[in-house]
Amino acid sequence: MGNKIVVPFGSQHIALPEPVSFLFDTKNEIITNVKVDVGYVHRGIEKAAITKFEFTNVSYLLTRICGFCSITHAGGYHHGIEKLLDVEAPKRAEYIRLIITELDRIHSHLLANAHVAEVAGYENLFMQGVKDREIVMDLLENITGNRIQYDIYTIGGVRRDISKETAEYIKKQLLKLKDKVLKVYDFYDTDYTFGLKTKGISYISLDDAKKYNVVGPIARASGLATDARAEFDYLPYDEVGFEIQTRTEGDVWARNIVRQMEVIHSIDLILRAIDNLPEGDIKVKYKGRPKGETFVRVEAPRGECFYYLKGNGTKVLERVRVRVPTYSNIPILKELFVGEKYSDAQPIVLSFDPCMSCTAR
Amino acid sequence: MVKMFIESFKNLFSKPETVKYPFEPFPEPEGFRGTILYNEELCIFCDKCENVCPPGAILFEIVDIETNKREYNYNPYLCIYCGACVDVCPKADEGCLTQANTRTKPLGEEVVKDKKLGYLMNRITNPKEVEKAWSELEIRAKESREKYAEYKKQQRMKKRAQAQTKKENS
Amino acid sequence: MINPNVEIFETTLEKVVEDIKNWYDYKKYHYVTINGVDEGGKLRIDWIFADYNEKNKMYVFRVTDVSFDTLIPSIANIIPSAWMAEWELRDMFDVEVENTQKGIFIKDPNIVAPLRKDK
Repeated sequence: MGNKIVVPFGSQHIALPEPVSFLFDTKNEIITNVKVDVGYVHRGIEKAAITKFEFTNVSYLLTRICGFCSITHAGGYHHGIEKLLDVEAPKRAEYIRLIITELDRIHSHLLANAHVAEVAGYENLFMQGVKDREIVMDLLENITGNRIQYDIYTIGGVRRDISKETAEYIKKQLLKLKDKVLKVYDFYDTDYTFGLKTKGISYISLDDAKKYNVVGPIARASGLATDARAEFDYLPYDEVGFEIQTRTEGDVWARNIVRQMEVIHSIDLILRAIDNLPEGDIKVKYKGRPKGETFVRVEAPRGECFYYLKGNGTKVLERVRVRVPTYSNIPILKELFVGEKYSDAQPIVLSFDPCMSCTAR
Repeated sequence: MVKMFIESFKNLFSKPETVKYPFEPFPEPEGFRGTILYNEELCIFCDKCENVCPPGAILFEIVDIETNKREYNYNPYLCIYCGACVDVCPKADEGCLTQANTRTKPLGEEVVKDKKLGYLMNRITNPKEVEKAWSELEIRAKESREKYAEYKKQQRMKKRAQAQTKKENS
Repeated sequence: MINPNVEIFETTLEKVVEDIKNWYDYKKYHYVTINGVDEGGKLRIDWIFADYNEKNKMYVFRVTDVSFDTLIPSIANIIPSAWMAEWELRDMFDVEVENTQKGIFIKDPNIVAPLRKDK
């Protein structure tokens, strides 16, 4: 029997990509109690959105909440504001939005998986993952003009069109990417030592996932088929044949596999969207000022992202509420640590793919 | 085992995946969102770009109140390169405000000089002064607006007074 | 684009916990978040839920005209993941919520209730 030792994990830690602090009470390396602090990077974005910016400009602020989910925040905001202004984006714009959103999901998932591999002790696998991710980043840079902050959304459409040559280029690169991803997928799936480090760690049952309202790949790895892409109408996912990807194991390994499956599915979705890209305008004009309130749910790479917008007929909105996926996954993460070994804490945190700059806003 | 050796042998002689950037050029792709360039001759001084800029990296300072002469100032180190100003510019097609597809050089030993970057950047020589000069300019630009509004008001008052005296005389 | 099919249940602060307890079924519904809106000196609180099975369906329990010095009941006993939103509500509007602490997002003691319009 050992003594109780308090081990701090974060806010600065070699395995953590972003500042979050956990205080573990440990007994013989087993964690017995957890304290969590998530608010290190609070920047008052909700306040700035309703005081300093007009509704046409809020999007540039909101996309800078977080690099990975920048397109999701733009999506959540624009789908909401378009309802308040009563405009509808043309079909071609919707498809371009879908393509960018899915490309963003691919690069986020690839990095998340690579990160888990790294902290589980596979630095080479991390490099493989990040190498593949570069293909997607180049594609995004080609289409939107920037690697992280795409700013492609605008009220009533998109700002840039996809030309025929670019479409061909995307198709070629994605087929190349699919081969590479399948190779890495094989490794995640079958490698024995990777399995030892990840299988059975931090198990979430289906019942727990529902009780704690878990979202995103973490929920889908536990067999809970929840996905805002299927549960909410915001982009033409039905038309390109979207299906929810689930596993039932509910551990770190299953989360990685779900993400990898989603990457492959996203590639398929983009290829179908490019083949069926409708002709027409990419932008429509809008009139008036936002009035009323609306609720929007969109699917970020990490899970469901919720937006609440309220306008009062002036240029500045009255309330902007952002609830990001990590925000609703932190409660279960806190519970999960209890009973696990301290050495497994890193893969557990990173399998959740936490995004603190989203959570604290 | 043999397979592994073949693989590692291949890797020894294959090309590196990374770009050796400082030693090799690493060009931006076409359509990259880079520096905002301005052409004063075409500008109609509508102030739309100043109003739309999310971080406030474009400022017009009124230097001569009587003729309403304005100077365009741009801070490439505050800019977020979203391109909203180019979208909103009514003369963008003619090349008044354009977005280049190259990056701005980082703020190192010297300040980048280019006539298209606006007045402030061309006046500063020490890179450490950029931030201070910009915050001073923000205050100055605001004051110049207020002064101009005051001047306009006085002009209107004068005109009205003149009109009234004319009426009384006649 | 279809507007979400939002069903709003108007209720009072005394009854809201019981209402949610009677209605909520974790197998069918999905708790989203708690949202506060300052409506000119009075607070409006929404408890927002979504449906797993029905597309575009959302449920909102709404309490209006809450003054800033009343104690707001906690639903963390019914929905264990709700504590974060309750702590945030306390930070952002400086209202008392049951079983919460200050300082999850705002560490600076000089900043009080940033989302209130009167402060």
